[in-house]
Amino acid sequence: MFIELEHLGVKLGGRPILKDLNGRFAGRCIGLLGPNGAGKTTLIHTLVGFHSPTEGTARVLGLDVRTGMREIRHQIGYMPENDSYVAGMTAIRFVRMMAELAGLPPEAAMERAHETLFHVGLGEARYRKLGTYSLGMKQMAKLAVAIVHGPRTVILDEPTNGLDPPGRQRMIQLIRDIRDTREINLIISSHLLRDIEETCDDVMILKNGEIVVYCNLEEQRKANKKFLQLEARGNTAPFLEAVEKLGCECAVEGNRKIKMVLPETVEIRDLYRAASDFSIQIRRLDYKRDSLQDIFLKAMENKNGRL
Amino acid sequence: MAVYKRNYQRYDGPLTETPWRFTILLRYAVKEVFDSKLFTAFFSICFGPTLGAFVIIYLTHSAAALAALGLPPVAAAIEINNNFFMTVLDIQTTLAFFIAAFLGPNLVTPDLANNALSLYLSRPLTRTEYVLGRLSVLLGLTSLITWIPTLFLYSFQAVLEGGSWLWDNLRTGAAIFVVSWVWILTISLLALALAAVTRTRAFGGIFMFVIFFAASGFGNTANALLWQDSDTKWGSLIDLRSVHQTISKWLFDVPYVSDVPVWSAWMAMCVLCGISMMVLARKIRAVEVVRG
Repeated sequence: MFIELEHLGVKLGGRPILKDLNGRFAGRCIGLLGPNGAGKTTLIHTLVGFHSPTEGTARVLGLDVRTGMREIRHQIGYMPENDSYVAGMTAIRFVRMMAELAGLPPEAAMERAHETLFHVGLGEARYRKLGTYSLGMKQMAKLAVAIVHGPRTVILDEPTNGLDPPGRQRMIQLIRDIRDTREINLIISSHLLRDIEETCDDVMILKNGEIVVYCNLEEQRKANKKFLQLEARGNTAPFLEAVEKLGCECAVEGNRKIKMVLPETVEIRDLYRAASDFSIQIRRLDYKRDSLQDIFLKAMENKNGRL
Repeated sequence: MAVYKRNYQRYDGPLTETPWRFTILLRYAVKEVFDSKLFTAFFSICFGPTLGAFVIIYLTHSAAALAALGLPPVAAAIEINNNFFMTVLDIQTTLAFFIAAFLGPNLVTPDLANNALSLYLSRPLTRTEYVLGRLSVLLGLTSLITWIPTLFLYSFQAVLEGGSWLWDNLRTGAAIFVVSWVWILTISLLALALAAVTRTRAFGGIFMFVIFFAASGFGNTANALLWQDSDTKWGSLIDLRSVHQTISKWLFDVPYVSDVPVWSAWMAMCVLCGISMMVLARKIRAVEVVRG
């Protein structure tokens, strides 16, 4: 478990922002979703120690945020949502300093700063002052700062904020590359469902400071994979009888539209075989698969949400 | 790293000692500070008065050198005593003020202006250590031009004078150290606090001078209006220089007439340091929480 929440509550300015969050989260890459003001950034800030829990506690990599924050910070990398840089410093100097502050000896920090800046695509611009960077380059520099010390967990808050499409694609690819090394856990907060869908394995959806959904995207896709909608031509009655014998649940809508729920044992090719046996033409076949957007919208409809 | 190997790699090597992590900020800041030629030139000039005092101490003890220079003996004219060291330190602390006013805002405002604090404080570095790192830059550089050279002069005088001079003037040695620290600590905290409030380099420095000069004028006006006939002129408590001189004269055991009692001067310094620390505690945060 790399994140554990136990009745975690956080109040800011006397207002409850996070309310009684519970759960053990082990996903390699967790996407944090929610509408504005849901508490995503507050949760991240609590995990990196910027806010103290007012109730309960949280554990990161088995370490309590109340007592083990220094050790946690050795093991995490954080990329904030807003601009964060020292305008007058060169990228290499800034990234190196951040690596040293994370505990790396000066020589190792220097080496890793160069490597990381090359890795994020700022190799040629590493001796330029950060103040002269474009928005996309600043985002990449923040990512470099987050990973330069080789942490076990990286927390990225809105990593694609303000990026143009190629910049966004580059950032997504970098996040995937980092994820696929399997040496690291990632938490990515975003309000862009596509970013989460493209990078994360698990999704946590927050609403009004509460976790309303935590699911594995792949499992969710698999679970919904067997909902089929098809349009057939010909005498469909024997075909329906045959597929029902295979264990499918069928419902006929109108003349030609058939909705089916397939059991685990039945594959699509079995349907084509049955259709062929009864000379049925399958004109259209759709998976009814829940997208992340469906999951998100359902979660928002669950309780009184803002969407 | 070869291009084909460019990917994320965990770091499993050795880590540096945690308690001294704040010295990284000191190291980087000092390097940055001395990148400025203007500052380097001014800092070099700050050693001028000490060098002059060194020459004076030497000449008062070297009749041969004076004769060689064709100068009359100055031993009788300039007495190397507590007053002499207080005057030297007075000049040096004034220069230290200029350094704090120039450097303080340069240390903090770049981090605050673009929210870099969230990056610093997401590392194993507490807010206290961050402030300590920044403070150590100011304390280190102002120490180099205040108590360190003045104590060197004091030692030099003790060596040249010999006998029981050192023993007889122990209080002066202690005064050099304490007076310097009271001043450099106060102005360093003040410079950082003002920089944290104003968030701009220019305003941080300007406010230092405003407090130094305008507060003095304001204090004098208050004295004239409220305590004209009184022996104790409480308005002087907001005059930073006057307060420090009261403490300085008391510690150097120099005859003085002060507007305010010594205890109140100490109190004023403590209150100023306390307010500065409170401001820093409030402003040096990774994220700002908007209340209400």
